[in-house]
Amino acid sequence: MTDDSNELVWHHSPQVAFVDDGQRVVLLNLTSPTTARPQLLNTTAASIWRELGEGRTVLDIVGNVSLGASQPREAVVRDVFRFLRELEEAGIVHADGSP
Amino acid sequence: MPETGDLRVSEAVALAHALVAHLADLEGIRILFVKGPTAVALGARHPRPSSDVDVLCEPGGMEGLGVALESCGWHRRNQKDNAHELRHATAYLFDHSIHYIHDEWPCDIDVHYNFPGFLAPEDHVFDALWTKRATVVIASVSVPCAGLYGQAAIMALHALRDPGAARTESDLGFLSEALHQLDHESLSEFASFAAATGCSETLRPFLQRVGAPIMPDPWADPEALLRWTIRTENAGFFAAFWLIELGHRGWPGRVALIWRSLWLPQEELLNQYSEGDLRSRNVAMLQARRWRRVMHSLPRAIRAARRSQRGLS
Repeated sequence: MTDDSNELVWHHSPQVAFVDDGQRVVLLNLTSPTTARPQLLNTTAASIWRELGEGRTVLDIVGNVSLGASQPREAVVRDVFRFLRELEEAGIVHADGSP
Repeated sequence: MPETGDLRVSEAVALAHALVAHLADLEGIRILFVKGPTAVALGARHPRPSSDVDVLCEPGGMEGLGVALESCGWHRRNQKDNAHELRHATAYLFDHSIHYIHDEWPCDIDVHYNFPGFLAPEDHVFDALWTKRATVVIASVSVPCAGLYGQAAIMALHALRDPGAARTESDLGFLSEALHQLDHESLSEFASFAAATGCSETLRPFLQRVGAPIMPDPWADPEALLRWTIRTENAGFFAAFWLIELGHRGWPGRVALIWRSLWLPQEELLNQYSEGDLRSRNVAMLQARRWRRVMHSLPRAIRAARRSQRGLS
């Protein structure tokens, strides 16, 4: 993970429908509707998802969300970034300036 | 990430709206959501949870939308009642939709090709609703839906179709309150919309209740209105429709129909009474309960069948 990656601003993909009742977040990725299945986010993923509503960098997310981790901050940043990349590959989020 | 296993009905309904809107968009099919959360958002319905998705599809789009839904694992639900056997009486039942279900989704999708009570041709009704459509955000997606006039007409027709249903009075009361907020000009527009879609007469009690004028209805059809009246007066009393069907059959057909009406298949019986225990003793009890209901409603059913036979004469 580079300094440039820290500058990426992450957003919800417009192709994702989601329901957030304040307790649970459930997504439906409409990019491939024939295989789309509703996905329930766990508590941490839901917190990160909420942050992305207005567009956030990884550092914003780590600063705003209590991730309950006792790991060093660099490790948390790395984990959040990896998670966002997974979501990006699934078409659930996208990053401004991402290749 | 966990998937559909513990999906709640409220979540499923919202996400299914987004899915249907997306599929229709991909296929270039015009749809309008009605009732449910879109009606709640426009103030035409109590904010109570929905258990299914109601969507009106433009004429000619049903097949394409059905194929798209089936490609996503949705399939048609078998008809729960025996209405499909009533070739003649079906005109009184106002069939209006196809139900889709999915093994992993805890909600139905009810795709309407028309809506009972609108007596104008289907394409005309759809175009009138489309012209007055609104957009509502459901599950973070903007979806097209009938506007306030369309939702109000549909909600009121739905309630008036089954006057004895538990929710009818509260739904009509809520809707009346909502429309009482409109000025005179808007009420006239609502009345014009009702006339243009052929529901001035079917909606007459509601229009009068909210103080809207009854405008001349170019689609007024006395035969259709008689069928609507018989349908609404016999809502929940299926015996009337069996008798109407009997009146249109020759003797061999009548014998078969009487036998069929007396002995419903077990699965159909359990569906009607929503009881899952397959023990024969319970089936016999349900059959007996059904016969008691039929006997109780027989005078009303005979009156309806006679009225149907007399027609407008």
